[in-house]
Amino acid sequence: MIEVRKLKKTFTKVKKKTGLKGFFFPEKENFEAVKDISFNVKKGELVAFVGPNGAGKSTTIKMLTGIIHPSSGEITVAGLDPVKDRKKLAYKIGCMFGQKSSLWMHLPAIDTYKLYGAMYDIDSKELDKRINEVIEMFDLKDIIDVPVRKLSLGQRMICEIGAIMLHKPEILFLDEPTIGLDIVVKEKVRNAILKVNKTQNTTIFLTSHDLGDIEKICERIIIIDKGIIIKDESIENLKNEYLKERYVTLIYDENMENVDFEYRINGRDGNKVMIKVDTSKVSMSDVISKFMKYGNVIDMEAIPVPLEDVIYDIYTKNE
Amino acid sequence: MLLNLKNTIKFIVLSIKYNLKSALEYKKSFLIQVIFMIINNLFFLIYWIVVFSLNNGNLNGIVFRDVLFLWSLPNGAWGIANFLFGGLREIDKLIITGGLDTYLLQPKNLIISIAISKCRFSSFGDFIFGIVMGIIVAESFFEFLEIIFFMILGAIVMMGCFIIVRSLAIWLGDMENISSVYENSLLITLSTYPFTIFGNFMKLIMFTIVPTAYISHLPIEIMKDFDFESLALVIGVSVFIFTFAVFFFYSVLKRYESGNNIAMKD
Repeated sequence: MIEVRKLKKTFTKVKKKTGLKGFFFPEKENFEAVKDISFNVKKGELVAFVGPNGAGKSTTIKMLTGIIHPSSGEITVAGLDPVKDRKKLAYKIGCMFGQKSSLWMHLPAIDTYKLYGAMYDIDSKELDKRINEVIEMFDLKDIIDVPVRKLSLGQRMICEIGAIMLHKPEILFLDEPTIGLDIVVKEKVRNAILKVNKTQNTTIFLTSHDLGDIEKICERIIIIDKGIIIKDESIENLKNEYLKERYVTLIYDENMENVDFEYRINGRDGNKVMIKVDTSKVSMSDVISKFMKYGNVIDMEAIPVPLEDVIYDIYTKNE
Repeated sequence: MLLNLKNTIKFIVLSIKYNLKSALEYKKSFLIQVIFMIINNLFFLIYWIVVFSLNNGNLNGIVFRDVLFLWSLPNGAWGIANFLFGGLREIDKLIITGGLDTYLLQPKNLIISIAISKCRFSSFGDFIFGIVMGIIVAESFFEFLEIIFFMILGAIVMMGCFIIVRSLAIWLGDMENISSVYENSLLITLSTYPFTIFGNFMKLIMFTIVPTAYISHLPIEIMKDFDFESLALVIGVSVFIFTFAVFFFYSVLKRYESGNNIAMKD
């Protein structure tokens, strides 16, 4: 569904702009936002494309959708070249950028849906049918006729997803689809995306800084940093790889704030001490027995390292 | 091909309908904008009435009817270009804020999608004013049709100019002030003054970089004294300016780098 080969994007930045010389002859430098990346995505796959700010995520998505042109490399999306076939590709993809709205602020979402119908050449009868499907799928009947400016952010986001589903795209590109939403609405948006994937086998290509989106929606993760792919594997494999690591909280019967530990700890709070144990390198009992000599441990808790910390670890190791 | 054209027309009509519906959410504001624009134009007309009355109705061969022509054509053209296709005057903003992304993701022609994305309702007042002036000045129904025809050609010239000037934002950044000076102070102002009051240098400017000659001056001459060569020149240059503008915009588009600004359609 998506094939990317040796993709590169270089931007030119003005380096110096001070003084008369700088004004007329500004120094320019090239900045490689995306450096030689390759990957494939199959039909119906749910892929998270993540990375820290400035890693090259949005630049890559914009090249995949035909918004900007690559400096070099090959891209095929739904069998089309986004540069040469941008308009044809628009019929096959749906894009939602969490920071940008495609809905008319002063009009109800139903009006934007009707305009989308004309934009995607859907005939009136078929459009009515699809609007009804979208209303039912995302439970929009109470808000579809309300001007968008009067909707909550969450309701607006659901309407946005409805809008991009009208032309039944084969691929959805979602850039931060849950940005700024509360937990309940986030869950609603995530369920809506999963529903689309399940019912229409739509490929999902998602970027998000919210690890909850990735854990709940995606089955594969591609991590990009400084323009290169540093990890590309299933979420399950990634978790298994880091599953050997545990956060252990030891609870002593006295305050441990001033104790000088010989071993590295991850934090302390009164009588609680947090340590990270990599069970592939040391045994859990060895570590705990070392810490027991500092005081009387009355309770303990061990939890797997959350995905958020796993990804943070991958980013920092790459630094 | 025919189906494609039909669908595009349907898309344009619906877009204008929803733009109008969106503006009518605030009916009073809409009406005030239109009325104020008509009053603004009337003030200039009163100024000319006073000037002519002080000069016995003739200013070096220019009569009041010429002024009515001069106020009909550019205002009508400005009204059409801005009321129906006002999005073109947003191109600079779209380039520097990354707002073009939305339109690049749509399957319809990019220029059309941008043009119809915004209707400038104050310009509806200009359009009405231009039409009323046309009705007053036309001596026959045929002449009124001629006025409408030249208004449409003038709108095409203006839209071409909007596209070219606003696309310069790719190199110059914020173009709002420069574009406003070009569009309001040069394009509109120069086209509402009689051609004969300008020197040769200004006339050269008005045939080239500020092409007001094709918006009002040559069309008025054609209507007063029909000349096929002048008509062919006006039509040819209007089509050339717009075609060049479209090519220029698409060449600029290759340098477009997008952005991540938060934006909402209004």
